[in-house]
Amino acid sequence: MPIHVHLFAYLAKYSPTGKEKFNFDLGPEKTLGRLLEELQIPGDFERRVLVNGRHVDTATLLRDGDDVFIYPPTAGG
Amino acid sequence: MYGWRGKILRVDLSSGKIKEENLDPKVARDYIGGRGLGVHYLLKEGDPTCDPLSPENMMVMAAGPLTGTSAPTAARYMVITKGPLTGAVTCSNSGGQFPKELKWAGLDAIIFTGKAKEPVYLWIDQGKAELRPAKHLWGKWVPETTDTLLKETDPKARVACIGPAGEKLVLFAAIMNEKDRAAGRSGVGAVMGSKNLKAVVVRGKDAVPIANKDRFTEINNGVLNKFREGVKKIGPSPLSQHGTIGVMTPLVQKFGVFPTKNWQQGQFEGWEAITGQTLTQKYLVKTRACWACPVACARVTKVEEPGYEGEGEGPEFETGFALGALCMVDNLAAITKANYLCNELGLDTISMGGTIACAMELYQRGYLTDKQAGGPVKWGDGKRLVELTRLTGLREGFGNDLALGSYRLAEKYGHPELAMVSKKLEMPGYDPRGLQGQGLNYATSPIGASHCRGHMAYPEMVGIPKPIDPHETKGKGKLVKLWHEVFSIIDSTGLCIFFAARNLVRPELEIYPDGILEYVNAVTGAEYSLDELMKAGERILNAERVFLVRAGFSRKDDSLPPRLTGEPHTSGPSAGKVVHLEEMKDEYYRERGWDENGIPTDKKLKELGLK
Repeated sequence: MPIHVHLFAYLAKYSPTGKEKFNFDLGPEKTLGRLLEELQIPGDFERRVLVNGRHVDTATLLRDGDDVFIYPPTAGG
Repeated sequence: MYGWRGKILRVDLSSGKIKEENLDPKVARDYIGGRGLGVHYLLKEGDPTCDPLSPENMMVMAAGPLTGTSAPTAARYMVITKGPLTGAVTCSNSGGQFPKELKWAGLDAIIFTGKAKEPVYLWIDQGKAELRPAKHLWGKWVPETTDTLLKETDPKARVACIGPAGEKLVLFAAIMNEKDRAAGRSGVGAVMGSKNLKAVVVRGKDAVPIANKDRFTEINNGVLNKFREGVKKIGPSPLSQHGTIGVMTPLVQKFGVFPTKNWQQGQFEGWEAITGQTLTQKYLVKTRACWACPVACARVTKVEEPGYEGEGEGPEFETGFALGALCMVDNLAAITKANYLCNELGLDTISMGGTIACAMELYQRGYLTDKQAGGPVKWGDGKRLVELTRLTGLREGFGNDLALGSYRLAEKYGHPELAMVSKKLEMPGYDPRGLQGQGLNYATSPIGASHCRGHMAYPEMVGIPKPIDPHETKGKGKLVKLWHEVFSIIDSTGLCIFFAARNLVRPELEIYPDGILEYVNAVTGAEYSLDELMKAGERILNAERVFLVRAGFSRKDDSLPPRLTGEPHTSGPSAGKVVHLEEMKDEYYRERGWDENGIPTDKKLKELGLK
């Protein structure tokens, strides 16, 4: 089962399918850091990631069916 | 003086007398302006034990020293009074253009006392101020009131007014400026209504003087260029593209902290129908900015769906939450129409949604009948949502009960525990069961539950300046204390928290206001040190607390509803958690130098010059 990725706002330009939301086959034993590399989001792009609704570090192993939300951190109300 | 205009207007509505007074430079320095200035006068001269709807209640409109300059987002003013909904001190914030106009008319603040015998409005034309009859405006909705006043005074003037809701003393009535900007919370609109004060109209042509123009230009260029380069390099801010409703809705949903069904759930199935992106696709006409704001998060919208036709500004995130998820309404046209009605009648959208949701739960549980409510009050009924909003603003039918706010409504129908409030103020759209620090913030915020007095969802959920453990309680007392002070400084300078708390503070959890300090010193020439500015923030929080104590508040009132401290969600990313409030309050009071009952010690008050 692939992971579900949602690239929000201007980060959507890094979508491999051209759509904000897409499924992604990362393969076994892959970390969040590896996902970000494969999506080729530049290191100096400020972004935050929620995996299943939680902030996790990039060493976290991703599992089948995980929900990954990548967004530009913005203040608001 | 620079930044500050050095002038206060005193308007005694009982006698009809208007007096100009010089702003004491020491008071200006110690309390900064805006919120701080307001609480200074309220504490010194107001009556914390008065009935908020009596002539004895004082109401202050105050702008900050930066308001009306071209510092980015320097567009804000505050209304400070004893809130009718809460009985607590309140400071209600609004932007748009009216605050800048006040400063350009040469004023820092207006202090209203007493009650006019008949409806009046205050017209300030540059230096000249007069009270004019407003009987012909009484009963008019906000848009017609505004248009009529602009014809009677100056088409370039700015209007802050109440609609029928404020006139009829709806406990969460708002003061609306530029028709769609709201000083929304705690019922400040009802205070105006109780004083027979329909509007304040102001025309100002005199730019705010700057002490060190070169330094100001240098700082300003730096900040604005950084912002614009960011836009050029990576893209427009999501806040500009899709509004606060765009930025926050997906996050609260994913985090499981989207208050839904009167806080019975932490996620909303219909969330995608009510995001900012959906609003952009369906109803957005254009964006709009407050004075001096490069972001433009306001949504100018138009709905053409039959039954929901209208136009205006909004909805914002809080409105999408309160009139949407909280009531299980996923019809964005209905939410937007209810939002327009709130603006036109002059109502706070958070309290409106919180009160309707409370009514929906009372109905769900059989504590409120069809007969009592004039019909069903079912979850998800967008048509009924719109109707109930209109009835509330006009205090007709069941709207007369809703006009009491959720706490008094729930109390009337026998179940006050179903009101999702702190200090009787309906909670904003972030569930503290998934965000411990936000829970502490809601409970200890001086005005009642407010995200705008120290937004813990920024580090705990959004991850700015960086993510912290939202479920940890240790350390949150200390952090919330600091954030409360920095936000009080922002509120007192006249900046917008959404910009300043992100771009003009140290990029650390301890968000010391380095950038704000630079602006304040360049504009006013006051040469604050960082310590002095932080002390002013601490002074303001303590002054507010002294008012609260005198009004009868203490630790027991720094509370959250039993649902949040005792009923965990059973599903979603924030499942299984409740708010551990008391231990966080212990830490917060310790850091504040208050006793275990939340009362400032004499030592602390002396230190801040409050004793």
